[in-house]
Amino acid sequence: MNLLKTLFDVLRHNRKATVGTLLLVGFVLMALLGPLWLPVNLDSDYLERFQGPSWQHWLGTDYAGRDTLAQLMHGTRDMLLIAFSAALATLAIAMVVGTWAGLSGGWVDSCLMQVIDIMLTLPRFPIMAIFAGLFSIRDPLSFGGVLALFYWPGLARGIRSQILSLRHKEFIEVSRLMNMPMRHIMLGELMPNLVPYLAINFIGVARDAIVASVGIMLLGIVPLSASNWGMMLNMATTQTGAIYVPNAYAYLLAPIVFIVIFQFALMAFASGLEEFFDPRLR
Amino acid sequence: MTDALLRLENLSIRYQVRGRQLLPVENISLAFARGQITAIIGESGCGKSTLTAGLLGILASNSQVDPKSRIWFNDQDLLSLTPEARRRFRWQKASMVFQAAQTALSPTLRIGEQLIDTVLDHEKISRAEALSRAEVRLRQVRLEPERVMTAYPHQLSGGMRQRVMIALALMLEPELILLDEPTTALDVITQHYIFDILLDLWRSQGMTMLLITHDLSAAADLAGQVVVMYGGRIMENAPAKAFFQQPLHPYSEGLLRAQPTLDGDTASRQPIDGHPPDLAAKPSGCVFHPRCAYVQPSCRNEIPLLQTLPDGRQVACPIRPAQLNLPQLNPSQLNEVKP
Amino acid sequence: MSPRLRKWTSALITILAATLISFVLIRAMPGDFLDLRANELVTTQGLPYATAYKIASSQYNYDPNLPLWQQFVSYFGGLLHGNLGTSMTLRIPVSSVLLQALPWTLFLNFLALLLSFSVGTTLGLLLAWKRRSRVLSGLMNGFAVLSQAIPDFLIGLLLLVFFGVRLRWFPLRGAYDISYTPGFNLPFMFSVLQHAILPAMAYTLSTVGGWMLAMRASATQVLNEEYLLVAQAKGLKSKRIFGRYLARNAIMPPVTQLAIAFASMISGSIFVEWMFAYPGIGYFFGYALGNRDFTLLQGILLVSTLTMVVANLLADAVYSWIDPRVKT
Repeated sequence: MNLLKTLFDVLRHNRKATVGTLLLVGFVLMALLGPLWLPVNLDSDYLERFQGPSWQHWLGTDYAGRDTLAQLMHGTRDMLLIAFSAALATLAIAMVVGTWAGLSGGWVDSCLMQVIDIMLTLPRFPIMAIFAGLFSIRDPLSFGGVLALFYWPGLARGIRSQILSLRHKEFIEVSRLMNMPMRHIMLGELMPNLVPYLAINFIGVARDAIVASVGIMLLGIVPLSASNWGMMLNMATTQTGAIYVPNAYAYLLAPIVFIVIFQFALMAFASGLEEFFDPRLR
Repeated sequence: MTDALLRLENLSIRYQVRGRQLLPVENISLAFARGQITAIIGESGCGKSTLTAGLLGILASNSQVDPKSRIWFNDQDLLSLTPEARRRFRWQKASMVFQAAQTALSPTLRIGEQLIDTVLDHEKISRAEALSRAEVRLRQVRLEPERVMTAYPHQLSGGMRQRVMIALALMLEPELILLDEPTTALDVITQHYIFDILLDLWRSQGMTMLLITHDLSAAADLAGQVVVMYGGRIMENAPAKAFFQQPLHPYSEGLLRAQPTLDGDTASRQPIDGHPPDLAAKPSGCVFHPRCAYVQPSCRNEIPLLQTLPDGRQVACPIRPAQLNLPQLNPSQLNEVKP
Repeated sequence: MSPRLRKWTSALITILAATLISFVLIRAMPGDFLDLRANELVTTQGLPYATAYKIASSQYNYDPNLPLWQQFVSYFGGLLHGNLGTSMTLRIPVSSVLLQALPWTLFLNFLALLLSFSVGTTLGLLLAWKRRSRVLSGLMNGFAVLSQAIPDFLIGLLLLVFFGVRLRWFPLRGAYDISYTPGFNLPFMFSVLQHAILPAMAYTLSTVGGWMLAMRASATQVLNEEYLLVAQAKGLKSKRIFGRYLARNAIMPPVTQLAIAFASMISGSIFVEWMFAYPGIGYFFGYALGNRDFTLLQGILLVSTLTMVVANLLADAVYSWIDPRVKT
């Protein structure tokens, strides 16, 4: 409870963190309530095609005369799910591998580190795109999972070195001397020290996942739902020629602006968290 | 003092650190005789380093020299020079041997380059001439130019680097050389080797030297005059011989007593109780009074002036010299220093 | 194991892993594309099916009738002889596609890296030198945040729409105007440059902020070093202190990052090249993926892995070469 209160205090007093939090809450609300307020109407109305912003369509209309804002809000849900599932799965894999390597040491550690080294050297984007494209992964949760398959190595290495540096700290030595079981040491002593590191990286992976997913969808190789932000951009740029229609700029720019704001919100929130965990910065 | 190369007049230097104001050099008036080696002695944090940085004009940006201060160098006020004139003064007239030569040399430039660049920025001289001058200087500090000129700093030993720093200080044949703890990082044998080189240079070239140190034995080895600094103020200024025979200020006395003796009798070695003062919140009155064994009530209220005794020694303590019977003193003989 | 030996074994294992992945990839694909190709050869060239199948098998460097390990050995042997197979859709050897595409990718990324590195490090250096100017640092921080918040391909999209479509200052697609003959003639080289500017700017704008921040951090550290104080005490002119002491030492950490940055640019170049239809490796990757051209995909995967591995080794070499302290 005390922790929550401090967190709340920091988020309130740090301007960047406040902005980030509010924006994130906004995105969550948009994902939950947006579709209720402005349901996506997939009927095409070609007379309303590529309209600029108006009272009726705040962000204009797409190539088939459908409301841009409604699609964007509908797509928010997917983006949040991808970011969240990718980050969560990455964290889970990285935790398991990182702690395993860090706590066992010896040849297990060397082998795992070798695997991590290789994963980090392999070109990530192409392999990810091949996986996502060729195995026709459609729903946002499994898409996040695929991203996680390629994002964990860096984080696992980080967790391992955090553990190695914690291992030699006095309080861990004491726990070992007192013959406490390994699991207890892990949960009781290591976790509180790892949490800040994990939290910051959670947000970092979420940001990367959004960029990667939008990019892959922009290539047009993963046919996710058409209102997904990356898919909207793909339709706008390669399929419908919206880039040549001045009136369609709202339709074209809106997803980009949304992505940038989402990225910014995560960055700002992360900087608030950093301050929360590092009292020196307060 | 008629033949002073350098005279400080009411020199005060302030620092602004996180809203706190530090005063590491406070109202110092002092003259340094030409051709002499003067040691400025004090613990770390007594203001020695700020003093040298102030002399060279390389203070950090958060510092400020009091407008009433004057630094006379050959009867020219350094503080009134233009920035460009001040730059030309540096190293041309006064140079410095820095401590911890590991970090004092740029890791990515060859030694030769670091020796000659100051020549190139001060004189109209060809590169070849500058290089041959650097070789002469390196030989003066007993280094082989062939080996050292093209080396990078990390390829030299600590003692060699320190000698490079001395050669560097000699490059422009300055009138004044500041020696900032020149031997702290070195082992004893190397220390004495460096002292030997420095004394050799002093005897043959006769430049004025200012040795900044916390090491009394270094001062005893090299200096003809000793200045003791504490809490940003001058405590005592005396010829070395007289000083080591009988220090007049209680702080000087404490310093000497804290020094190990030859017979290794640790019982007679007594450190001074307490800590050096916080430069942002100095004690009232005499800055040394909280640690002083001879403290009197008046010490807490009045800042003692640096007074000149009949024999020319200067001391900022009215109590202790009177207790000692050596030159018989009476108040009328004590007069303020008039710079 | 010595660190150097470890690096090399790690590099070798990585390349092996990439070949293994691409080997598995082609076998995991749905549909019997060998049969498809053989039938095509039968109809177009009137060959008997058995001969056609054999030709198809050697074209794709793949024979499903052998045991799996033999398949891998023959596949790997083929690679060692430079046989990357034939592109399934372009009908030319994959190696010749790569040889055509690679120079464009290298040229584009080199141009972009040159721009972003030189501009970024210069800005970072100035920012550290003039650290008391609040306006300047506020402006630059804002720019750095913004450039981190927009992925490079979206910057590319914006550039494309405004400078290409709206203002018509720059061409939208390709690497040069096909009405010119490639070679050392001015119109062709001008056309190449004209086509490269927008995609190069996309990379540059998205990476320049990173270089700037890295350089500022490095230069701020150098400014606190004692040798900088010594340089000042030596009465050196500001120009020399700035160039010889500050810049020379501050540039070291960013320079060691160059090789890695170049490699990750190349392996991440899919989106920007795709967006501008710039005929480099990344463009053909998008093409191969969209058209299910597995042999081409394999080849590109191997080439990008090789680039990454070489860049990593190069980064190590550069690091020990550039910093005299590491050498000895």
